[in-house]
Amino acid sequence: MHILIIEDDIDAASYMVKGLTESGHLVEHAADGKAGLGHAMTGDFDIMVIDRMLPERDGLSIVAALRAAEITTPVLILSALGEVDDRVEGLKAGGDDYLTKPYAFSELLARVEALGRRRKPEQSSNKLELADLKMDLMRHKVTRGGKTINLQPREFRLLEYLLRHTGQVVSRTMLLEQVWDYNFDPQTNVIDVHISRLRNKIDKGFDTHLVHTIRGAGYSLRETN
Amino acid sequence: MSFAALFVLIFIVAITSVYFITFAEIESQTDLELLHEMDELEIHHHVEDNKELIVRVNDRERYGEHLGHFYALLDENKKYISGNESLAELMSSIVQHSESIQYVEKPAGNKNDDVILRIAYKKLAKNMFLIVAQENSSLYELREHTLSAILYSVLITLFLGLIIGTHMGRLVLLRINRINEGMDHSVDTNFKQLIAVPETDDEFQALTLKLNSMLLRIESLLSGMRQVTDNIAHDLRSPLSRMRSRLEVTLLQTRSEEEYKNVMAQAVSDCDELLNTFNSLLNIAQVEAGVRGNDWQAVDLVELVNHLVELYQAVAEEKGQKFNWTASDPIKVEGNKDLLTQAMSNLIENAIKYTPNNGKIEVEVETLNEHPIIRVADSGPGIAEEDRQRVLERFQRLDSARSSPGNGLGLSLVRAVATLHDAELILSDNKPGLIVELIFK
Repeated sequence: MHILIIEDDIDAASYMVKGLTESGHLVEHAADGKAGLGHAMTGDFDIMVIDRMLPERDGLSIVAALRAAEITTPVLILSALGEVDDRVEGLKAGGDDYLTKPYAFSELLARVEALGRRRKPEQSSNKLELADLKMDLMRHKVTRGGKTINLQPREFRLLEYLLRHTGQVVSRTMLLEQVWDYNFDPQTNVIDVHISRLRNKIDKGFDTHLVHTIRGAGYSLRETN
Repeated sequence: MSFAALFVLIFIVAITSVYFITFAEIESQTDLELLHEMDELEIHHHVEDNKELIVRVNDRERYGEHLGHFYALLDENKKYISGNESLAELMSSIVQHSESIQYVEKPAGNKNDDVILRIAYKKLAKNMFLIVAQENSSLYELREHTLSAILYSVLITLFLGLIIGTHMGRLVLLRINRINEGMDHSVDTNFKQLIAVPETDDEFQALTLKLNSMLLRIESLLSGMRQVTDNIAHDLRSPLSRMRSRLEVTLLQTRSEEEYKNVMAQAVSDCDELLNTFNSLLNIAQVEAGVRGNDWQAVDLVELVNHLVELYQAVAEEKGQKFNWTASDPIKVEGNKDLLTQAMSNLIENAIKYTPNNGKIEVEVETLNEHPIIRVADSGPGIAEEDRQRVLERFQRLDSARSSPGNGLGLSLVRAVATLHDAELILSDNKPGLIVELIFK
């Protein structure tokens, strides 16, 4: 993916550029708001990572300017503030996701890739599948190898989210946000418990395991390791 | 001083007005009497024949002398006709051609200068002058005595006022000084010593009590801060030094790539733990400072808990714990939904964490005496009564809990959120286990 990073903290930016490049992305960096907006307006990016507090021009106004110019490139807003109110503000301004500093790089990477995926046309919206796992959203039905799997409503949403991000790494925080609609960090392994229950239902008794744990990052739904 | 002066001034004004009002009243009484006498005599005045009037004036003069009343009648050339001769002589140079009654005050003359007369005179129709006088010396004496009495009392009042005022002022200053010294002493001893409370039940006592409660609060804040600083230093230093020695040892010699990876992964996880602790600390500090929680709204506690139970019930079930929760009709409080959710999740996580496998956890939301209450009860080891306040402080963990994961900040956040919502946080015994209640106002 072609990624633009607008971040004035040079150290943070350089390790972001390094990390994302090593993960196989093409990365450009702008160090202030003005240059950043110039880049964003001209270049064709798949995703932009924009710091909220920038010299020359603040991050939210860049997002607003982009949206006003009908540039719909997904934007991940970075912030040192981390208040829930700020988060709402950031999303209202036209941001697609919001990440609070300090963050783990794996979290950033997972979110960037999830956002990039959003641009591609979604799979036919009421049927999702991976290998022999099939999900029918209309009929609220999940089968694997033709065998019906009974899922609780929340497990259903969890699997739906994983299926929509097949092949990507999703972090625990992303799952908590997207599936349970919570914005706090639990101190316990609550997401792991739910994943393990889901795993029991869709992987138990099958040769190919679909739910994979990615150490230090989260989970991924895919056919091969 | 200025109070004494003001007091004396007010005193002088009051006394002087009493003086003037009284004497004006007495004078007008005298004048009324004179007018009355005058009217009585004037009835006998006839234009053709004044014999009757002349006789009457003589009569009155004779009877009135010992009462201090004097009468005289003058002709149109101001010559004596009848009555008191010396009065006539005194007045001959004074009377004027006036139709209405005139009043004058004169010393009696003829070696009787200390006798003051209040005199009324009038020109009658046939150009005669009728004069009536009343001895007024007693009134004068009274006036003089009153004046000197006023002067003396003013002087005495001023004198006493100064002495008492100065004394009272010094007394007040002395007591303020005592409080001042007490404050200095308290500050010098790091708020360990309080100000001695005066025994008299007055404003000074009330002030001292107030100041003492302030000093106590400062002391508790200071020691709280010291304790937090100590704890932070201790709790943050341990993972840091652990990480440092691990990295240091790894650098001692060349190792395999696998080993480096492991050590670095461990370092990353140590950092995460530290960052987590910092975030929690910051979060608590922001809640306590009231920086967070601006978007206040009506929050349905039942729905809030219901949602959390959906998340955590699975965790309890994994541990074989029985998780009891029955959703009821909405019970709403005004509050910040995110903070209440965070606080509730801390309580539920604690209950799950400290309750042994196959234990029991009960979550209830109800209204008691119009107070919404959230109650989380578990069948874990509970918290001894003497520790229940302590565990609410930052980094305070029971020794028995040290082995389990956690940073000792969960209940501190719950307390901060409770305080922000004006709710009471009560820990009690579930026999066995712990009951945590949040009681809203």
